[in-house]
Amino acid sequence: MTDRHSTPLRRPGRLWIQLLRIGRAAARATPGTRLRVWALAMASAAFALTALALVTTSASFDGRTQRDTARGPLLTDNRQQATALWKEAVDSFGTSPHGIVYVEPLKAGTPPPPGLSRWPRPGEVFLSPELARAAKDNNSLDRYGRYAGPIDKQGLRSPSERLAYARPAHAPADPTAASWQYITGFGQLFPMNQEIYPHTKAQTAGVIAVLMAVPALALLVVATRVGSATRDRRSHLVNALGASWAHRAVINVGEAFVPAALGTLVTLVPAAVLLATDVRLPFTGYIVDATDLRHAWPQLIASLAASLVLTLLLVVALHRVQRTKTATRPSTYSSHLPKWRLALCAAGVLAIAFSQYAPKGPDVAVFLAGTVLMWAMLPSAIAMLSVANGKRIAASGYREGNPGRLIAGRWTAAHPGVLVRLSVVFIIGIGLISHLQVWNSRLGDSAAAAEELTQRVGDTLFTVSSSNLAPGTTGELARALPDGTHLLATTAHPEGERPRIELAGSCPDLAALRLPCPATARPVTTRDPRLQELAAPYQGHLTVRAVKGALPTGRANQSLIVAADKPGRQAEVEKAAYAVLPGINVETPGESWVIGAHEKNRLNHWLYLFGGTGLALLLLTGLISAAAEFVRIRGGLAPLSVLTGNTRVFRAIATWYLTVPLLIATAIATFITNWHSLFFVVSLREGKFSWPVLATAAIGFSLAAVTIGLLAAHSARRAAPSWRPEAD
Amino acid sequence: MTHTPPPGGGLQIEGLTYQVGDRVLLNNVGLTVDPGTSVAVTGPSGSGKSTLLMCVLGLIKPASGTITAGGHRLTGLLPGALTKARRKHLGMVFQFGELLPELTPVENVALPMLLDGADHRRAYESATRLLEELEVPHGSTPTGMLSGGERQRTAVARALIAEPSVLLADEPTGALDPKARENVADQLFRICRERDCALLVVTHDPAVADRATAEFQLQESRLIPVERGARA
Repeated sequence: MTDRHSTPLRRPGRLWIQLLRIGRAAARATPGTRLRVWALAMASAAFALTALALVTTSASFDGRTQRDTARGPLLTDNRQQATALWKEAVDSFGTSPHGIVYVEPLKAGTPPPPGLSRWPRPGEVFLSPELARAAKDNNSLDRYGRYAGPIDKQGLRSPSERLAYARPAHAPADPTAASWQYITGFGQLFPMNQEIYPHTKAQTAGVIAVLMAVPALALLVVATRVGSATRDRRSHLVNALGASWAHRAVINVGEAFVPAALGTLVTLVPAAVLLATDVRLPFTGYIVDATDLRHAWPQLIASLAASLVLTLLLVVALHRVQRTKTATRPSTYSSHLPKWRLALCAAGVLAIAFSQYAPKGPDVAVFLAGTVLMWAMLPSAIAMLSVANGKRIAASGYREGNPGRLIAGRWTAAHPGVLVRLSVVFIIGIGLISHLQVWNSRLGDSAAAAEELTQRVGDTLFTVSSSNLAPGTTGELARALPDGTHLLATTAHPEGERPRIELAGSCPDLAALRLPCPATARPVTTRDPRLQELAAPYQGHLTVRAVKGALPTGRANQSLIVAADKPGRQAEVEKAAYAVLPGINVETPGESWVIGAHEKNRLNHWLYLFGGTGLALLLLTGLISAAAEFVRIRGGLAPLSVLTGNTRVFRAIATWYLTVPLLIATAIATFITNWHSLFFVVSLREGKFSWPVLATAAIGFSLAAVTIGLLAAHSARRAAPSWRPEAD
Repeated sequence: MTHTPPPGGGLQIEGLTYQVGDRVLLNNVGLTVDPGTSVAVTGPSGSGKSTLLMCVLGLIKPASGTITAGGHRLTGLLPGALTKARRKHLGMVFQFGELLPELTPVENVALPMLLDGADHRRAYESATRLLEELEVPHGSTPTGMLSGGERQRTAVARALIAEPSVLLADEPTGALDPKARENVADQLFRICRERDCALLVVTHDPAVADRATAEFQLQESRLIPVERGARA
């Protein structure tokens, strides 16, 4: 008897399989099934993609550290033990800087730096592939010597690193005087060819978590709740039949497993690409090293499996059976929106508007507090506007007997949440795009000034500097420079009542700049914009002095300039200078500002990459949310449309329920963003506002609003004829 | 229900056969419902009661047989003509009402006329009159806030607004409590009688079936007349 009673208990596995089957069957029979399957698959893919991004980040950072350590020079003070000489310099092509490592082997048989098959021969240079590409574009492949080939990616932090290993044509006579360092080999973490990217592995992972995982979670929440009415009813039913939490969880897993697994599997495609080949990331141009990810394949598999498990766990957690609900009527009506939120939103707007009158210092705090308040409360304000707007649309539909407007208006007034969720994505999207533009323009102010300077002066004037400029070197440099270029020396005299800058050079070189040739310093006025720019920091006071023989150099207030008769000589000048003195610095006026500002701007590209992905996920969330609501509305309307044969009404409803309110939200967001960005510029006294950027964003979101409406109408029109009455 | 109906009125079904795969759900079914009268079709679940209604509505195509409503043949029509005929001659009450809860009762009832492009003032007037007749409050309260019985009476009003010659009802009281069920059933049969409308009601509920002029049971894909005295 005991045996007979305990028989079912021996096979608990059967029950679980049965429950899984129930779940799978339910997945096929619920309204909006196809939408939910797609939504869940996309949410699961978003989670898997986030996991992939995290593992790739971790693997890349590990690989970079490993290669950085392998190539770092082992410095020594003992010249006898040293196997090579090593020194680092910085240069740039265009606005992107790069590092040059000069090497000079001292002992035969010494292994070359990682990434090189051999030591460069005298006058040879190895370039990383990215740098070789940039050098070719700048017509400067031989700037540091004869091009001997590419640096293998084993010797690069990432395949996108810009680095050169060069060997001077002549071995340095006095290494210590020219900042050379003695080394015994390679193999320690050493700060060389530093990049501007300031974030650690953990910080980057944090950014990915916030900008990708949070939107992915939002997407999952919405995807799980698609067609939730039927599912909730089922949960209540199995609950009433005595099912435990675990039983319900298994049913839910059975329902969600196929789409969730599908989403995870889809992510295997980008994962396979990243494993197979080096991939250049959009926006940033950074190349992810496939070797790094290959080393981390167990973590990759584990993280993708974990993302699938997490997705299923969240689906289960989001299917709680609510016991607290006591109302017997649907409580969908808008009276729940508290008025104080509208008041707080208005307070935020006022704070922004009045921040300009606040004392300097607190004004920024007031502006920022107002901004946070306004953006946080804006969804509620839009909800209230939507309710009012819905009532107006319904009233006009009623008056004119227009069923599309009547239904859309009543829907909008009763369910403002859908529109709010979608509008919030639109508002965040437009706001983010425009604010990033203003923020970038703020970072770019110094760059803009420098670029303006470069445009005024062109590349016909270069400053030449080095810590090892001996008089002999100056003479050598003057001889090495190409025809049509002139080497001169400047001496700054900032002190006294009449600060000035003195230009010294040979008579032919001074004459080439249309300057006199006095033996003693004489003030001159010139219309040459290059010389005007040179004298600008000294109230335009320029004196000229002719010198015979070596130019004056060596003091702190002295430097060299090269003037070219015509533009386009930079590559030749730099090549000549590097041939004379490895590591010499040749740049156009303001070039370092331009490079610095561009480097800062490039940092934002990472924000575009992760933020853009997050924004796309949020937009997808809003779309699915709207589509899910439309599944509901089409369910309600299908019987009537079938009986009356009117499917045109769906287009009218989609237009008035989705497209028109979203266009209004876009207009409001554009107006608010414009207003707020202008206050941002005024309050922080920096940056520029770009109408074209905002207009492009607004047009893009308007097109999205129209597309959403058309898609919703199309899906409803297609689904309506398949409706059949279902009686119990 | 064997006598010949006057031309142009009521519902006539002749030789209707419908099958899914090898399973025959309706086998040579014949039925006539005269104007102002009502027929109840009962039978166990899955016997094909709702299938019969879907055939009449033209949502599924029978293998053979003819259906005539208000003197117009519905079978063999092209989709456009069928929709037009359905709109003109048939009204339908569903088990769960299938109303839009956000609209007011007047708007819900007027909706078929609005979708048909009829004059909206006339639609609102007719809707209000019907709701008054069926004792449904018709203020600005959304339909979703009404009781179950009121919602179902609203559904009856919506089915009758286009003044169809035939009204179909699929378990119209199936989702209601006993008191509301009595009330809705009373109103449904009364208003159809008063409007000279032929009513075909599919139900499990003997109390509802008893109100009909005649009752049939769908058994083994055939309609068998039920003798009232026999059931007890």
